[in-house]
Amino acid sequence: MTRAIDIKQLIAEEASTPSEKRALEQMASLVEKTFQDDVPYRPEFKAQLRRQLMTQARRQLTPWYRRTAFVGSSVAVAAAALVLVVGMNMWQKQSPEAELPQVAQAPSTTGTNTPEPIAPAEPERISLVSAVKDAQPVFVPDQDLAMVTPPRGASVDVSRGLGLQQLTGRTDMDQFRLMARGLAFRGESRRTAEGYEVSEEGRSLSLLDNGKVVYADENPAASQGAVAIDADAAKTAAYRFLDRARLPIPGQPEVKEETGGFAVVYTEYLEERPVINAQTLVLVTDRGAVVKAEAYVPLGLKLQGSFEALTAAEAIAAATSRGGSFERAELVWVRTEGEETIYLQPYWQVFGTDSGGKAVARYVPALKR
Amino acid sequence: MVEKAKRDPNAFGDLYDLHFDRIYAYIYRKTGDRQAAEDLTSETFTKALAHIGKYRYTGQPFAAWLYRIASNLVTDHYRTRRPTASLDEGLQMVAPGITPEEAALAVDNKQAVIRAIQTLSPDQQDVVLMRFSGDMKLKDIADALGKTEGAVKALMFRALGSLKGKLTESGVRP
Repeated sequence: MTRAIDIKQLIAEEASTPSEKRALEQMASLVEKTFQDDVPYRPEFKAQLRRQLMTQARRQLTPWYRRTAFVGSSVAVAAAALVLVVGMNMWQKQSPEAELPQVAQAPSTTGTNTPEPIAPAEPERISLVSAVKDAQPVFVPDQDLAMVTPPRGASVDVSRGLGLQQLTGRTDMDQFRLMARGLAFRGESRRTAEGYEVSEEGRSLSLLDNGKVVYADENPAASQGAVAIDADAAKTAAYRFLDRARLPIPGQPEVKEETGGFAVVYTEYLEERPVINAQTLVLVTDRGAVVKAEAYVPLGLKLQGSFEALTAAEAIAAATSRGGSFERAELVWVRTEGEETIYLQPYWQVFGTDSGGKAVARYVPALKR
Repeated sequence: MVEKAKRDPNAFGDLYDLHFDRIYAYIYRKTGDRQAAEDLTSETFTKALAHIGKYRYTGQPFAAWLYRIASNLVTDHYRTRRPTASLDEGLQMVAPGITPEEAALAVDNKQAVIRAIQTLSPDQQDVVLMRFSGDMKLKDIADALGKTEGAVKALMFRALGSLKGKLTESGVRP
């Protein structure tokens, strides 16, 4: 008789006669006995496969903060967050809601001081079609040329395709607590629907699941100095803030003087190309207090694959087809969010004038679909 | 453990250790080919690792998810290659303490059962192997195969009936 209770029940329910029931139970028992011995396998195969998987798992699953090299973060929600208008709630009474100028959100792909992309050690079996399909392009609005962060590198030959990068890291509570402790939060961190947060005495800090960090201090009086600071000191204040929060400091920032303070903007570069929609921004009052910050925790980076891409000429033609006149194109990165996955997609940054005659950079997805 | 394995490589190693034997056995018994079993087992766990971030617990064990991957790979394998008809070496093993005649009979019976199972439809083979070799519950097999539990029960019942008929014809007595 079979020892499998569910099989016994099944036979009892379905067999039409007692003799059929008995015969089927004996049959189930025979099959059971047939499979009671283990299937022999080559132990060296099992061990070798385990080693391969562990190597791959370490590359794929190890959190960013345990890696020896990583490429920093970035986030910025898809399309809408491309150009971010940052409100700076300055301490000055006359303009508590004063807005700082538009700041293009850019990269955050470089980590700290050793930004080094992680290259897969071996080619992965990836369905190219599905990968590109998953990484949907987002619309990036035209950008005033004065706000454009240009690439650093030479022009790129796209005839062999362009890489699509996938961010592989995940945020977690330990990471958030470390950040909160660095910024001297004493309250208890909470898990929210979007991520983690902590707040106390007019200050708040949150880390979204997509890696975006938002900090705000509505009452910076306590942390301000008595003496007005200059742009260099604002840069130092921003650096210290990011360092205390264990956030990446991607190279030298741009510092823009605003009413009541400074906007310190860091742009992250990957392969000499800026990520144009996930910049790190720190707003510092003219007395040295950080009142607002947006940044991105570093996330591991994996080359998803190389795909056929538009040439510069094709990108210029595509930009021109939307109105205006364009004549030059450079490659940049745009951070996009797919279902549970964040990508860095190559885009063409096409320079020219829009149909109204304004000098702009227009963005065209570089990967062909 | 699965949630931990989404972040921790060592935890994924534990999952591998836990499930390797049954996944390998399932594929080996389906293909009857050691090389194919190794290739497909390797591919099953590689895919599982690549997609583990998307795995969501919905009441079914992780094994059901692995079996689904393995089952799809075996199906793809059959599309391109004919299954090998070699016998499962594991079936040659017999319990100690029995006479040579009994041992020979036991091996003969097991080989007959295997041959009979190889004549079942692919879905019936899956159900029988997952239940009796993989020790999966019928409802978990349903999840692994993307079928209803009722459909799996029907497959199992028909498979047992079919095996009974074939083995009776072969003169094998349970």
